[in-house]
Amino acid sequence: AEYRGYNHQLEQESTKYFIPSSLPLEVANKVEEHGQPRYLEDEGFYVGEKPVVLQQNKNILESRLLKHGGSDWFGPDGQVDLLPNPVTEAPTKPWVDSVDELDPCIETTYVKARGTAVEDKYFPGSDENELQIDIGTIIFQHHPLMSREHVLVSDITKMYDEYRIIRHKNYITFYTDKLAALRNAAATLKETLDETTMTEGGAQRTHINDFTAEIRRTTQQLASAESAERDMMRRIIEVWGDIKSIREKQGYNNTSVKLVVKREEQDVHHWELEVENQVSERKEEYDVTIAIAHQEEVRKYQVQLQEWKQNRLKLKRIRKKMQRGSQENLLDPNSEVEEEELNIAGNIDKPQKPDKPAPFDKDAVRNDVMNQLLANRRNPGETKHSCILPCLGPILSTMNFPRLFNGREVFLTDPKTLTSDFKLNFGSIFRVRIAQWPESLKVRVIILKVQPRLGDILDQTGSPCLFCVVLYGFLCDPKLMLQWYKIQKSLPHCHQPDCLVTRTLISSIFLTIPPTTVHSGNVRLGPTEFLSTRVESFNHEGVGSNTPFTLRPNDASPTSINTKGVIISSVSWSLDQDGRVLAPKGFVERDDPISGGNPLKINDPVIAIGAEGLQDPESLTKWVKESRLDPNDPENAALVPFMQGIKDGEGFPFAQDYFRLEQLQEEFNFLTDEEFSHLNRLRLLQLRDKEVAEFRNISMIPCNEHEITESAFTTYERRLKEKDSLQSIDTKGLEGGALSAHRVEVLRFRQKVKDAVLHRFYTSRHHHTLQDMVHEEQIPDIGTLGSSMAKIVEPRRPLKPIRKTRKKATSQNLNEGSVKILINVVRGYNIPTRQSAHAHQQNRRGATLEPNSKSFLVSPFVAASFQDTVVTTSVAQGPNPSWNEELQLPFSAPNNDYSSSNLQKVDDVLFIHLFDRCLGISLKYLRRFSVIFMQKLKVTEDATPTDTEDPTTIVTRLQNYWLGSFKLPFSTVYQRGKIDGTFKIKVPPVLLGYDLERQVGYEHRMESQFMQQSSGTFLTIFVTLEPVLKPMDPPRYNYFESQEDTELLAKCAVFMADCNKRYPTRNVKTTVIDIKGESVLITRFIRALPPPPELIEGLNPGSKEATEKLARFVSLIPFVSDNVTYAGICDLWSTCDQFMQMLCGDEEEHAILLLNFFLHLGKQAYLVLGAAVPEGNTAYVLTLDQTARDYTIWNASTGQQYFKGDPHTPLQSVGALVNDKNIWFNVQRQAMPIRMHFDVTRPADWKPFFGATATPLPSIQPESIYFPPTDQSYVSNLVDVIERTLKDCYFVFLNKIIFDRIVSWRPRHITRWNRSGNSILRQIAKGLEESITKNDGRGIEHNTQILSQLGDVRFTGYPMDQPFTNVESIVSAVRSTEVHKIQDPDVEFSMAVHIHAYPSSVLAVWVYVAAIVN
Amino acid sequence: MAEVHVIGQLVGASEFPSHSLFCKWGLHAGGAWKLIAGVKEGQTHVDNPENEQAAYWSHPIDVHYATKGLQGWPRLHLQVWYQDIHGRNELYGYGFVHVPSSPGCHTIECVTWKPNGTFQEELMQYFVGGCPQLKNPDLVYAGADRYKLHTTAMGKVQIRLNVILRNFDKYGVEC
Repeated sequence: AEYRGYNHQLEQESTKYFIPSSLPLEVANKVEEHGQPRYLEDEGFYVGEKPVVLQQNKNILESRLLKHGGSDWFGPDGQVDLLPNPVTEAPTKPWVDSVDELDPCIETTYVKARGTAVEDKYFPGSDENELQIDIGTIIFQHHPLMSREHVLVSDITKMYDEYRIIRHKNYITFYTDKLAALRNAAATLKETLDETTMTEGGAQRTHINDFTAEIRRTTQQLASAESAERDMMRRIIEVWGDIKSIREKQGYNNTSVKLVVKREEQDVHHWELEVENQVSERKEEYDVTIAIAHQEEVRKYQVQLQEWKQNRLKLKRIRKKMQRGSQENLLDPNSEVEEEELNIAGNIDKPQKPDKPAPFDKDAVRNDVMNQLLANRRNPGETKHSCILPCLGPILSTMNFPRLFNGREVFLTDPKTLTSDFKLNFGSIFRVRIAQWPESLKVRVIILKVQPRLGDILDQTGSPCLFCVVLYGFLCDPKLMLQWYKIQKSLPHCHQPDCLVTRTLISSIFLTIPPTTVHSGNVRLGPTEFLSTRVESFNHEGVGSNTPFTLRPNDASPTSINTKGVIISSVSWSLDQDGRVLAPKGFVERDDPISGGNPLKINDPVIAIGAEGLQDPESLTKWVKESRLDPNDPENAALVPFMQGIKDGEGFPFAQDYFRLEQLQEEFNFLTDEEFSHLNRLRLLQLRDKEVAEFRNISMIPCNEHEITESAFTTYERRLKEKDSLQSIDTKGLEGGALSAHRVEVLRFRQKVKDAVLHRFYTSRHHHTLQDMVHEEQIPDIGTLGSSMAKIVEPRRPLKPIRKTRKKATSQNLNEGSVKILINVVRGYNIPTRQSAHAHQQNRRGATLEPNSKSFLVSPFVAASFQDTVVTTSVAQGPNPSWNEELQLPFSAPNNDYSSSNLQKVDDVLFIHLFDRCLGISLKYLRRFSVIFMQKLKVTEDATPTDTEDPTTIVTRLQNYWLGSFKLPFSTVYQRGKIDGTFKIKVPPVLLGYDLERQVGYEHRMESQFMQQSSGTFLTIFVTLEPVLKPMDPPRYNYFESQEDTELLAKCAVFMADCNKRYPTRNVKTTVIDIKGESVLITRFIRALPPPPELIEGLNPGSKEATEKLARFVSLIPFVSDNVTYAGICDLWSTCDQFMQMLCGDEEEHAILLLNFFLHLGKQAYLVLGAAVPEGNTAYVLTLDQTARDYTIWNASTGQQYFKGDPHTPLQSVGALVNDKNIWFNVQRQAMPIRMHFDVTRPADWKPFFGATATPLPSIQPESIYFPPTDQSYVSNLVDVIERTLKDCYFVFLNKIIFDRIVSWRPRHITRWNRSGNSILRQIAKGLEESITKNDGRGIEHNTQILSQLGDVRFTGYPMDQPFTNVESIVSAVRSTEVHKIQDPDVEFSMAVHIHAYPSSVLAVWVYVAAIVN
Repeated sequence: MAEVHVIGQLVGASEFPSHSLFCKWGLHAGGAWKLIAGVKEGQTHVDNPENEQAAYWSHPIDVHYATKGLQGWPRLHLQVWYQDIHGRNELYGYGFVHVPSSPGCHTIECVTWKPNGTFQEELMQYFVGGCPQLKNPDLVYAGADRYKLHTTAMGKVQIRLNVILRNFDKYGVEC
């Protein structure tokens, strides 16, 4: 190898190697960019202490790092970072170990992962909340099983208790002592008074006076106290006497009460002393009050006399002087003054001497005192009482059988036997863990009655009874439920097959949920009273409950007592082992409208004492003291100082002016509270948000305050005012006095029920299921795909159209004018025809119209009106016309809101009127012109001659005569989607000028055979909405509470499911919702009820007349659909008494009332649940004759009856029959009543709910209803009001027409009233109500009657009857007849109103309107 | 009358340990504020996207307030909950944000936290689920001292709010 020199090597190395320098480097090189080092330590940062390294080495390191470009090794100060940065990248927090110091407000609790969705109402930390309920004792004050003796004993016990309380208070001794003390004091005072002289004793005398007055007062008090005690004693002894007599009579004792009367000898002398005392007191008093007063007066008199005498002297002197003065003729200036004085003095009368008062009559006073004493106090030697009530053993034997409710019970006490003292000691304490705030806490007292079956009844006289108590109202946790089911399962062995066990609920008692501060340590048992109005009566000694009985044999009127008693119980929050209260803490308060009565809310001071109270430290302190707030709750942080102050016993510890809940709020407010509350825009927005009817869904609210006028609120305020006035008693001035007190009562009751029901349903509507929230379309599977594929290859059949369901429109897409009501008028049957009498009349006058032309009979057309729009069909001819026309009516929703909840509330009615268009010929001109001009007949509608001078013109007038009408509520159309069928038109019983029953011509014979069964006029129409609106979903019924047995409810569900499976479209119900919102078995609504006695007086109860009269009565009760009343919630059934009280209801209420009346008459009757036109699902009444072959169907709300074989029965399908015992579902293939058998005993036709033999369950209907007689003066007043209103309205109608005429340049006419016509009509109207119930042929008879009385005239007129709801409805009904549109210049009107008053303010209003053309 | 109209949505949540989440929310305003229209509290559905590390709710918020003062400006407080495969719910985080006080559209991210329990509780949480919760959930938006509370940071909730203010200028508040 070649040797290279060392130098060369160095040279080579110097190019390859880098030797860091040990010299210090420039700082600028080390610091990035700017070259200015920062000294962090100087800036105050902690940099730590660097390890010591030789500067030389450091330099070497630095230069080496710098060479390699490792500038990130250098800190901001230009030094190498020798240590890691003491500031950590990620912030950490040192562990705080002292748990005991932990602030309780940031405490956390461990919550297990829970399966249930967490609702708002759940408490945080819910496992810790435990309620403890202690049911102590039940004491019955009255019980149905009590005998007369028991009743008396309970009376005597009550009285004895009172007596004891009186004795305990010991007023008598108190007053006696007081009296003695007073007398002593008075005596001593008098002594001192006697010693001192009379003159200076003024003050003392008044003192004595005071004493006497006090003594007198005390004597009176003593007397009244003694008399009260004596009275009580006397009553006790009286009752005791009754008890003794009863015991003697029955020969045994039921009770162990004994009255011991203790005799306490009293000194006769003492009594006499008392009399003496009182007499002397009276004397004294006399002395003091009367004698002294007399003396005083005498003294005064003497003084006055003295004065008077002096005056006289003076007078005399002056007179003398004056005489002298006049002689000297000197005008002394003083003399005038003196003269005046003289006059004055002369005018003073001589004072009267006071009368001497009557002397003190000692004997009279003594007698008086003695009488008083005898009356009030004990006689000399009176007695003392005591009443001892030892308890005997139980008299009745028992058996245990507790009862299951609808799964929400949480606790059942052990059953206890009723003992003879009617006191039950449960003594059971129960704990409930709750996760949710309970809505209610209810104790139910239930009687179990074990009745041996028939064979044993004779042996046993008394029915054994026992009770259990059930707590209710929680959603409790599953553990508890499990436990409960165990209890329930272990019980069946108790059931003995030979016994009939009935369970009855006596009463439900609501217990209050205690505030969180009440725990089991500090709670006390408290009594809660309960009362049951259940009617119970027995045929044995038990007096029953709420049934009249005579307590004593000599009592004139029977008494009736309700079962009542006291339950002694307590509710509190439990304590755990450490003594902590297991009450919800820190419960987040929410503005929950449903659980309004949340007791936790008392913890909010604003709610408890109001916002004003906060400014007042006094009341705040008081409130803090009372509410016992949790000082650890951060919510209460602002109030803690108050609590501490109270603890120290000092009251308020700091300056009071400073306290405010929200400091500085006031100063920074934009505007004051008052200004804020007067903002119209705010008010409008809030009202809209609350969905107040007038403001709901207003889409535009003006942006600026000034754009909102006060008038926006007027309707709302008026309604509020009306509501208020409804609540206040003042009934005058409403509808011009047309509302009687009863009506107001009814309205108020209705409002109350409505509010309660709405609230209930609002709560139950908030239970949502998954289906409500999530709409899942079914994924097409192979089956559906296959069928849709098959559709393609299907043969086309254009001649067989297939129904397609229309698409339902959603409310969002709808706006004004897009919804229409379509009415297809197909044809009419049996329309009344014009009377030939008219023709004859006209013939007589020479107008020969072809009598055999069909058009002559009648030319009917149909007019449909809805929301002030009227559309008509074309005019058809003949009594059986066929129109086949489609009418369209626009529909607009209130406030332009097409949501289903709003549409539900629409209470507009679709009217369908039938008119006859008649060619009226003005008689005036007829007389003038002869027949030959007839061919030039010119028809002008609604016209009078334009040119009367033209002799070649005959003027005719088209006139519409109303024949009848038919109402269809919009809610029905909306609910059902379409309405299709033949409807009977309500034709007035008398149509002047028309024949109701047509004489059947030969060519109509075939038709008439078909028609003969059904009399009346019919229309076939089809009504629907375009587009179809989606009706509201029916509420789900399983959310309603029920008092029914769970087994029964389960059975109902099974029955319903079975029925729906077999015939899904048939209407059947097992449970319905009553007015309280609870499910009730339908049979409980049915019970024979006596109708008002006036109605069936003198009628054979089985007769047709009686039934028709009852049907008429029931149909006169106004009809209001539940859909409208309880907007969109559901169908509610009310009992008959509620129905009569509300005086409105829908089909079911009417049907049930009628059915119950029929049952009372002894008819075999059923409630028919079925579908009818136009109502849809409805209830009718069915009555059968003995053989069950002939039947009658009653529509209770219209009073119509339909006989067997009537093809036009509105009832289209029968779903089920119901009576008080059973429900039968129709399992026949046919559901039309005409094709059915009504023999419910045939299982092939009817499927019973309860099996063949069923005992009726207790009904919820009352035993009888009181029908108060209707106020006659009110009725006559109402007649006046209606008549006046109608006449006024006529003027308005006519004025409107006149206005129209003015527009068309026609002369005007006035309304003339035909007075003689009025009186005749009134006479007739009075008879009409009778004729309709008797259903005789008075109509024709009276037609002629009118004709004869009014002479040669033409009429158009109708009597109309309807139930009375309000005056407006009558006006609109009259208006719909269009009698006022008759335009003959000679027309005169007549009108009469008659009201037939039935009991209970049920009124039939008859309005007879007629137009008479002379 | 000054008015605040808050329209927006709870868009979703991200960065949580798992994504089967739902959210309970509420708006809290001071005493001077009056709710005119809208719902001020609610709960979203459970969202569990299969292919994304987030949950989306798009839950609408539409509230209209009237106020007579600025105190107690509305706050939106949230609780994010997790639903496990057994359908059980456990708390995943608390959080709150102020409603923005300037008008316009705002995208807000609300960070959330959850309290740590004791060792035993952590252990339980790991194996059987559940979570320590605040006894007093108001603490989340109340100004109490929570220094001693041990918490873990959880994910974020995305919120989009449109704020409309009216009449504040009339009372001398510029925004």
